[in-house]
Amino acid sequence: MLESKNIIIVGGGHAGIEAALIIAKLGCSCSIVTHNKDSIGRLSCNPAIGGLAKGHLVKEIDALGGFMGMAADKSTIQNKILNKSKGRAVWSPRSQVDKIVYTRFAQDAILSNKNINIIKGEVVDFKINNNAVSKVILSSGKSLACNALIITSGTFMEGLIHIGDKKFKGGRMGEKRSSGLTASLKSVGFSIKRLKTGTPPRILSSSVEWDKLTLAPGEGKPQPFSLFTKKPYKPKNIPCYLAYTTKKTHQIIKNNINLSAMFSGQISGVGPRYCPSIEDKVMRFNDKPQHQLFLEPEWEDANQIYINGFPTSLPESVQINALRSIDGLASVELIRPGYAIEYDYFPSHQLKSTLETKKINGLYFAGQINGTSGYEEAAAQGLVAGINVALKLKSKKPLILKRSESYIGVMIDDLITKSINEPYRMFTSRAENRLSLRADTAHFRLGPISKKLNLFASDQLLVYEKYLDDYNKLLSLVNKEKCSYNKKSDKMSVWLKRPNVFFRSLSGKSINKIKDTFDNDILFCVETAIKYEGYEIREKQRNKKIKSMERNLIPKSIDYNKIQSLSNESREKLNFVKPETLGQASRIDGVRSSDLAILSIYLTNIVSRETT
Amino acid sequence: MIYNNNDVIIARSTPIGVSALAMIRISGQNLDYLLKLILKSKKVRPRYNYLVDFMSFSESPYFIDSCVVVYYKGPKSFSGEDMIEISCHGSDFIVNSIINEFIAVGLRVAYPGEFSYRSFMNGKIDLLQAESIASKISLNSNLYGVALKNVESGDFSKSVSGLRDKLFETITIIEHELDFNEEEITHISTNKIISECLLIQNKIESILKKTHNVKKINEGYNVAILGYPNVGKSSLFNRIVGSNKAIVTSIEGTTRDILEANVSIENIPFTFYDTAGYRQSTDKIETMGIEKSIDLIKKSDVVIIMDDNNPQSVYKDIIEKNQNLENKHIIFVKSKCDNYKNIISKNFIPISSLKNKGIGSLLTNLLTIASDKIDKGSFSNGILCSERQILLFTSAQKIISSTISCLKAGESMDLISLSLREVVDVLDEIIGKVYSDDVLNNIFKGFCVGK
Repeated sequence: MLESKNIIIVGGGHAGIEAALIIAKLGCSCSIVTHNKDSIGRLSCNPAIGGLAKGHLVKEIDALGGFMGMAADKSTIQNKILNKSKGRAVWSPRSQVDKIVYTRFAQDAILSNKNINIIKGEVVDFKINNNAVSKVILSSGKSLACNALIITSGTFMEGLIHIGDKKFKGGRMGEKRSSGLTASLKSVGFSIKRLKTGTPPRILSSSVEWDKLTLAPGEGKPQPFSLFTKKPYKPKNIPCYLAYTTKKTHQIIKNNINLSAMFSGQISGVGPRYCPSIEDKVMRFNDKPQHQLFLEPEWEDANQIYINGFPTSLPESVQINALRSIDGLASVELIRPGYAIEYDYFPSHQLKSTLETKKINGLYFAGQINGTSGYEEAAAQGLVAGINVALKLKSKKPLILKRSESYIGVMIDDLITKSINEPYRMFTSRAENRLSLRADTAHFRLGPISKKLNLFASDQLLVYEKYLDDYNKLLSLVNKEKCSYNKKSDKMSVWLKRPNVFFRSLSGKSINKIKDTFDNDILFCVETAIKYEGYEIREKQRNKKIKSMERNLIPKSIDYNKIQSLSNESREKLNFVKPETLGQASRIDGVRSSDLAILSIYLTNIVSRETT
Repeated sequence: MIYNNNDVIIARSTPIGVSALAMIRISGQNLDYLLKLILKSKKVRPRYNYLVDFMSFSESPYFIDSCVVVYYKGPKSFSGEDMIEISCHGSDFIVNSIINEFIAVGLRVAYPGEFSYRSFMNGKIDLLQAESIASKISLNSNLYGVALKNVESGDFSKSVSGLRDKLFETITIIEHELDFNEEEITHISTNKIISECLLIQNKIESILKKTHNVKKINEGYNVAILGYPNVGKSSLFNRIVGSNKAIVTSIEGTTRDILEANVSIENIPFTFYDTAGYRQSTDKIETMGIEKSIDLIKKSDVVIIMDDNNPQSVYKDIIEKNQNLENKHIIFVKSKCDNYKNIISKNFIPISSLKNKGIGSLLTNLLTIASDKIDKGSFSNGILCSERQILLFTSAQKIISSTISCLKAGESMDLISLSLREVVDVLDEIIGKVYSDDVLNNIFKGFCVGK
């Protein structure tokens, strides 16, 4: 019966791939509509997967039966754990990947999947029947019946590329943009805004004086993202290099700042504060004498080098001059200039937590179209949209991830409840439960969901169950058995709770046996679980307290003008933001605490009046 | 919350029992109709006194009392609503009769704290102010009021907010570090965070100390008068208290129970204790009295050792054997110096209770000790926290100290960040930024009726 259902995915980027593969895994078939088959699974910006908080997302994608972790492991040319000096909750894996290998691996997975069909073309319109998507229209005029439509169009919708004062239409450098779909979505009442993002120039490897740069090698003990990557995991370790901007670079940029598309007022979309362009950095942090740049190979033996830290929309000639003022880049040649791209996005309060639109049944948005930035954020949304499409067509309960159980849950909740004014990037500080949402707990948190919803393939399920079993075994051992530390004997868990004590600092027969029996990553997980146990409890208690404010709902019908005792300033803000809970109200800037108290009492009064 | 804001409420604001005058308060949205009932045809101006014969509201009115009535038009009133204050004679019968008249026309007796609650609801006072009003009701000293004023004025809120903001800034820096690559940004040093924590710890410490001092002023200083029998302890006691509370005879051992009296000297409340004379006795009751006197030393701030011959020797005899006197102030007093002028000594204060000589210099001495202890500054900079705030400050203090030890032990920043957030939460709770309904209920329940 399911074969008769048509699922159409617009776009074959990170969101589209995850959606297609998980739908196929769940036994449904789907079609990816794309301009160009060869661009499926392409990494359009940096040659890396993971990083701060993003590494957590990749782990969670893996724990929900997703694809990105495995693909990154397959194509890793350098692996690192970031933030190692700062506590395990914020340790985050990051891999430099070979873009060619990554894309090939993704395309193989898609093309070899019997449940996935590729349609070359462009979706320009769709038809609605009974408030549900029924058909999509391609630019060729052809129409396809459709029960569910997932739009993962990335930066392609009405994409406009800027380099200096030059601008041209495109979805990515060298690729056609998609137009038409925006207009048809607008015509059914979706609101649209513009965002912008940027990418740095790519340079010719042979034009770099490598011996003048600082070597930045990868981790000695690389860690895979995916639980399902075969052990031992021994990826390549190809170095990156560090370079630093100079005073001269900054002068060149300042002298030409009015030529930058982002500064000349040519771009109306809002860019991310977190991934600022080089001209932004120079102008905003005037006191910094230099900025660090990473030179990353885009694939093994690449002649094409990505300059991480140098996104720009300056004219090509200025880009070259600025780069040439950097030690080691004196005679650098550009393969492709950096550019800024503006694109349409749909403010994501128009979505439900399943990523289905509130307005039209069967229509889903995932990825950059929702105002996010980053491969990982996109992939996670594609996965959740895909799972929910399949569940819906099977008439099953939707998957709604809680904020307290995953970063993906935090992200989607943020997207649908907060107004996004700049590209949304994941940060660990966005999670209230950061201490328990560690990368090392991803599979324990989300594995049970995957098992229940059949998100793991049968071989994956076996691996997961062994992993879980080992973990539980070791955890109970550690809470029972004794060992010695500094010649004193006590329970293992007692020792491991101390800040600077690890399995490797302990000794004794029982410890040796454990080291022989269990994998290193199980040791790591248990060690961390013990260390964080007490703090996780404190974190939960704190959240409970906050939640009690969150539960205090403010009725939609509330009329702030009727609460005479509110200050005018607070009344104005409350009227504008219309918070749903007292908790939200407390976070609004400019709402006075005395006014919150008044509001709180007012609410209890209405509630008690309504219930008595 | 049990309060219903639509009712017109009434309550007696002065304590129950016989007094010269009593005051009754009324608060509600529109009290014009009540003014007409009380003042008949008179045109009433707000904030003016009206002397009226208060007549019952019944069909055949009868005289109840002569009253002074003041009308406050909302929002310019304590509660923010219309208010009427009626001062009548302080007999329970009169007060109740008047209140009953109003109940007959539909008013309701206010719950404890309900006037303040309305004041709070109408934005006249904030949470901290509400709490300080609760404290004011049990006021013992003018200086205590100064300290409360500091809380009420909002300066205290500001300084706690300042602490909170400073800490929040540190958290922001830590968060920034946690969310950005270690290679991209420069780190805040652990030592810097420790010094920030220490700063906050000191500030809270000083707040707690100040509030303790102010409380001390309010509770008063305990002064015990000790000495052998018949050296004139009770005479001195009576002199200070200003009445013949203690029986003075020449028979040894007249004072068997400890007598106490509260006296306010220059706004600082003192409690004086007259004790049984110290001697070896076979009388059971008297021995018990002596033991009590020795016990009293424990809770005294100041001990006056008195003798008509050599007070220092008495000290050795009584105290050294029995009590550890660390942290106690001792004043030696030589009594019965009726030829006062001729006696000058560094070792003791000569007094004559009979001729009322030397008492002044003894009291000055006591005041000096008290003021030293409470640090004069705390009168004007004094802070008076409620029990709730003290508990919260204490818990903030606990978290901060454990955070400092964690920082020193090398605990990682993700964990430190949680601890610091917990401190911010507590500070938020103190200034009333975050609180639950329980807190509100407790604060207003602590009030007495009529406030």
